[in-house]
Amino acid sequence: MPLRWIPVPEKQCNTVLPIDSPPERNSLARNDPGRSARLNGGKLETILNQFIPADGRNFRYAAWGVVLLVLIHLCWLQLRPESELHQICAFVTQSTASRAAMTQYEQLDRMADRTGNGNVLLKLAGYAKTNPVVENSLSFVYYRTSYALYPRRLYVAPADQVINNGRDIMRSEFSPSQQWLQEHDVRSVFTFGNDNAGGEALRLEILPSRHNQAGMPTDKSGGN
Amino acid sequence: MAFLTCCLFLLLIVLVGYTLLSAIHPSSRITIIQLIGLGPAVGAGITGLLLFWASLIGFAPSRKMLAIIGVLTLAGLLVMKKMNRLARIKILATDWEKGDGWMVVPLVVTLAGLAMIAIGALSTPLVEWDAFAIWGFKAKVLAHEALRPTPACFHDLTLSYSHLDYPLMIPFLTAGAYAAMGTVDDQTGKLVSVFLDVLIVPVVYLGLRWKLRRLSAACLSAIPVMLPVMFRYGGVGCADLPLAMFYAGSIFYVARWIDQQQWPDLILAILFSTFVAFTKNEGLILALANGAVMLGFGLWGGRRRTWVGAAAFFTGLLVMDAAWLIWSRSLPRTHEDYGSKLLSSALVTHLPRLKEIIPAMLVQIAEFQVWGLLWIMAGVLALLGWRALARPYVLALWILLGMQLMVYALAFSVTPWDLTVLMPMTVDRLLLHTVPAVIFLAGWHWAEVGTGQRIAESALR
Repeated sequence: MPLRWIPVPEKQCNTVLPIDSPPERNSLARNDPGRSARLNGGKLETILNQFIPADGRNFRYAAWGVVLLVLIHLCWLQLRPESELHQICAFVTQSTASRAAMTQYEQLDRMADRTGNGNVLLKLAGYAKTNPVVENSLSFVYYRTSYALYPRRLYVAPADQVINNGRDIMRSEFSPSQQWLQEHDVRSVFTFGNDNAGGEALRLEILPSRHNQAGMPTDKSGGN
Repeated sequence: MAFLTCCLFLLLIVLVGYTLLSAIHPSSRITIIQLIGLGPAVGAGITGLLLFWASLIGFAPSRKMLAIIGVLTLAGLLVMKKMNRLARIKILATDWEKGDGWMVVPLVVTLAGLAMIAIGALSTPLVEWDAFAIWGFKAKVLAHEALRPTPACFHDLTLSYSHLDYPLMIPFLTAGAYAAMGTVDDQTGKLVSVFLDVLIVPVVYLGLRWKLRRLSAACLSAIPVMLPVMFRYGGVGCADLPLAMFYAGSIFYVARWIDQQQWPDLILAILFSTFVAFTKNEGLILALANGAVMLGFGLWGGRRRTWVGAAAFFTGLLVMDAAWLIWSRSLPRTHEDYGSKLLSSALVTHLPRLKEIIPAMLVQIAEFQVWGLLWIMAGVLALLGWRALARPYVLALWILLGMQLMVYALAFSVTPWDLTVLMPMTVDRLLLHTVPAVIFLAGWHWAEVGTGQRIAESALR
């Protein structure tokens, strides 16, 4: 059945068009046979700037539908139990999982606090010297403790050696002399790894005060 | 007490921003959204730069320094008030249109999302690796020492993991908060991070409102807030969302300049592009891309004003970023050093890696649990409102988005890291930078579908 154009009285239009509205929104303008050079949005019609032959309202509804669908989908994503929103809620309400996640940060920060004044040396022990499995943990310990200690320093290598990750620390095999430790005001040592087996243990050793620092480190404390 | 003083620091940022807006738009009327979005964004960028410049001449951020900035700002405001050049706030930009009352729904969704991000961020200290290893660490250094003489940390290669050559906008703003608080409290200091991250919403809304009516702009502005990736990185203390926020401002004003050639738009485009360049290394490339697009469209249009504007853009960017470019030249580069690699022959030899990178980026884009249907929505709206391609500012934004994605893909191609490890860790963060461009494109195409076209554009000026 062929479609016929039926003029709609202006009163029946449910939207009021602004004066500069594009002609395709105005059915009367669209059907004006007297227009030779048509204007669209105040500009001359071109290939890119032309009338939409279909009803513009359908496109408008489609656009709204897409935007609302996206918004509803995003809200639904956040309502899922595994969503980021739920993770935030878990942290805020101090769930068991969130406490466990925070524990490792707090432990490192507490150990950094216990080092007192002076700088700290990070040593590797046992399997931690070579085992690539601990690279990630080693990176974490180094980054976090360096952050927590500042303006004091955590030494893992000479200052001219590039450290970008745990593997670089392993490669450095840093073993400074007693004199170097004194020159750099190192007063405690973190030992990462375990000579015996298992675990990614971190121990803190406070070095004896400078006037009797000739001997071996004593006064072990901390660790996990 | 620390929380209160940190809030005072943020108030100072807002005041600095309002003063600058008044200087850029003398005697004009600004909308509420410009006051709460544009002003603080400009204020944050300028405050970060001021603290950097002061540190370069030997003054680390301190309460005295902040008091001086505050006094100068108030003096500037008083002078402008006397000269009747102060920007006035108008409550209603234009009459409300039918259906605009529904914008309360997306507004509630937005505010709820932002509130959750803020609560989550402020309930923990810095725990994101990049946040404490790179940005938080540098904030501590800058709060403790001025940049003159250069702190030893910036030349210590054992700290190379902290990316010694990264720009310092976020560390300086955080150091400013520490100075205001009188202590290094990273949990309260995250208020600065939350403040910067939240600003992305009003800045995006501002860009959308240019072409869309209130309800449409509010719905689209709610989308970035509800993105899972926003919850993942919002308020964590990293520089990615602040970069996206500043970038949103820069591309919006670049587009407005291309469309209208108003000098205030050019000034804001320069300012935001400078902030982008001072926030992350990739920001410098994005800022230069902004200038290149302005120049290209200026030459294409053939109008003298537009290419003079492009020349002014590059000059302004260079002048404002010169101190950083000069000072950072001596800093050791990490093995990544994307800037040098992208300008060397390594780029050509690594091009085959794009065969691996581009599919990985496409897979990420299609990751519904990270992006929802954002990218699909942008595509559909671009199709429905395809006539918007006739607008130079829309074309410009497509080009900017294409350049941004291309630069990120090329950066991945020259990375020294194992791509299979690096890409899953970083690609969502990099694509987060593109969200403002994607949302603007969706909105500006939507405006051409027929509905939501602004009746009076001048309302936002």
